[in-house]
Amino acid sequence: MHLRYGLLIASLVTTLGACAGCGEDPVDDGSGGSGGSGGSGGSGGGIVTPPISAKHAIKFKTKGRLLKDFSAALALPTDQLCQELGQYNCANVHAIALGGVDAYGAGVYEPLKASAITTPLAVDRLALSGCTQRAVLDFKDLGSAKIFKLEVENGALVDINAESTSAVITTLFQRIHLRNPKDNEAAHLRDLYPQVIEAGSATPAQDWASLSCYSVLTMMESLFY
Amino acid sequence: MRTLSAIILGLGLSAIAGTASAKVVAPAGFCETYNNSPFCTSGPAPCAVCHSNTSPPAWNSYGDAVKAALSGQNISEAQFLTELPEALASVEGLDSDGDDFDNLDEILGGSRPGDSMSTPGDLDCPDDVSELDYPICVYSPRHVFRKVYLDFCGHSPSYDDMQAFVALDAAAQLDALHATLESCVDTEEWLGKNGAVWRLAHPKIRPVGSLKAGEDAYSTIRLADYYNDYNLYVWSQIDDNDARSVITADFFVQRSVDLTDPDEPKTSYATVADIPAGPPCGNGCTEPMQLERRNGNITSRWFLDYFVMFTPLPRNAAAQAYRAYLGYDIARVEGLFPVTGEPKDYDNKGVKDEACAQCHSTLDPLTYAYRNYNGLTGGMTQGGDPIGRAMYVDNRLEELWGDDPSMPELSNTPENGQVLGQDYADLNEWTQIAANHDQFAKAAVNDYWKLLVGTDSESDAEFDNLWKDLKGKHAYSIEKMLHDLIMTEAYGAP
Repeated sequence: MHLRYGLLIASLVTTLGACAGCGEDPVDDGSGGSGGSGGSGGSGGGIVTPPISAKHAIKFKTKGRLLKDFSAALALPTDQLCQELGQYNCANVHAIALGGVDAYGAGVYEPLKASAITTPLAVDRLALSGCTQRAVLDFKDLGSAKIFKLEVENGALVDINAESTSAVITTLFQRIHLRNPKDNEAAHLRDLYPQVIEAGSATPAQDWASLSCYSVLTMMESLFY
Repeated sequence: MRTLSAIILGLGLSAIAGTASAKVVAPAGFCETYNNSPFCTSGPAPCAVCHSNTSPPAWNSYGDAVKAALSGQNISEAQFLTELPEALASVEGLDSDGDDFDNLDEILGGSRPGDSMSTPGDLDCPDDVSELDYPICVYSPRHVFRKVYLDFCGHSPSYDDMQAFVALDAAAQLDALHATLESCVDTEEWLGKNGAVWRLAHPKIRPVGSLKAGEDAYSTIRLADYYNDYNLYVWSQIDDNDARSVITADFFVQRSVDLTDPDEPKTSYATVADIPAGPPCGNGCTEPMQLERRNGNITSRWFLDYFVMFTPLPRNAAAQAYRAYLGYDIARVEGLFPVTGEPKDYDNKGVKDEACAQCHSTLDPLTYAYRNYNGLTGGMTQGGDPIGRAMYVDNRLEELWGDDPSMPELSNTPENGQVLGQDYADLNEWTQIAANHDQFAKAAVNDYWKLLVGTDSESDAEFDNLWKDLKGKHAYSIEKMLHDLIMTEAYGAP
């Protein structure tokens, strides 16, 4: 499934200020992103244009892979990641938009050749729902949190630059991208925290956790391969 | 039944002659001018060079430019061919799709000049990739490790698995890639019901849920159990089985699921001599075709019920077999091997008209093999016995339509004809010629190329090696071919 890259980039990467493809890791050392990464930005470093694949052979993960990868990354069962109206698995509701098929019922035998107009929305829906649930679950008992083992007081982070925060950022990148974050990627997420506070959040730590997760989960490196 | 035939024929006609300006001769004419283009190495150019759609015809930006350079929309084919070289030359210097490559560079480079996502591949590759954040244009084992997991197991590896892989030396990494593939092709995601291989069969089988019999049936009209077709298809693609079996098998395949561990069901497939009737499906599940006339999925109950239906000369069936297993879509003017003197138009459908004959001179000789393969037509007897549905019926046309005044020549329809330019005596020979033809191997590999690489193969040396080895040293084992495919630059170099 060839997506309209621009559409996804515009809706996901730009909105979130994600920063895949930035940095200076050497080739193929295990910490660099796979071929699908892209995006722009960089805390204090201006815009770094990532190398673009000449082959246009990068693929969208599509429904099943997105569901399994998101679920594994967030330690949530696939049927609990996202439910429309609290009843219907979002991945099934948005199956065609996510590159799935409906061969027996609708006669859609092959995935769409290009992304649908609602594809970015469906991806966002899955990601935001999953991240929100993970944050809610973790914040019920931060001591046994799967991902967000943060130091929180009165709903706010004790220190955005604390080691616990760095560990959470690292955990997100390892679980989602199978690598460690680059310095500027981590900085981007830290930069997000004051914006969350500025937006008037009553629970900035939890909201930062959700949105940081969402930012990393919707990087092109996570959606394409 | 005549109505259905007329609809099918009408659809075919609309595909090739829906507007006067859709030119069947254009692909060949294009290659007269650009015979050194990769598009033209194995026949006429793909329709997608100029068209965004062929049924009904629509043009991409390059096609529009060429069209505008002609003297009119409704010129004759002869006039079209006369004007085409000059029209093509006049737009060579344009960049119709706005991807920064001139049309001529794209045509000679093998990329579509009317598709901005298609560019001459090698031109963007930097000479030195060592300073990039991640490798492009070079094979990356790390990239492939994750990709093999995603493509074949359906999910990414864990962080720990990735770290373990990256720690290996280069030779061990390659071994690990093959081991991962070996493991993943046995997973439910790959070979199970609705798994990746199963899904490849959707456009070949074209299931209709409301007509299904057997497992998962929900309607009252239970024609056939197309899961039998899926079972054979998947079986033919796994475990070093012969991929040709999908159109040559004189046996059937049943699927079973081991639920010893409910969290990890294990699907397996086994060949059987027949599919017996019985609960929960009754007759709809059986495969009544005589074994000596069975040719895999193009003679299954579902295939004959759905694609032959009530049609005397089921061009739809032959065209679907050609499309599904040889990769040639006649409605897109692909795979034309015109036979001199054809079409004869035995069923009096008017296919001798010039606009029709260009395709029907291939399609009709392709279809004659089905003259005795019955679909749903029934209620008559042959020698006192009921004429079988979804069976081979001697003298089927004579028995069922012999006295139809609207088709006085129908009984003269032969059972022999031509497929891929070769003579056949009956459908058994038809499938042998097809299954052993290069085009079968190309189509089989192209299914996986599209699935795994994500693009059409078009012209690619690595693709050529894959299908040639599938026919040769791999003895039609898809799994062996896949081990080669994941080693290609096309798969492993982002």
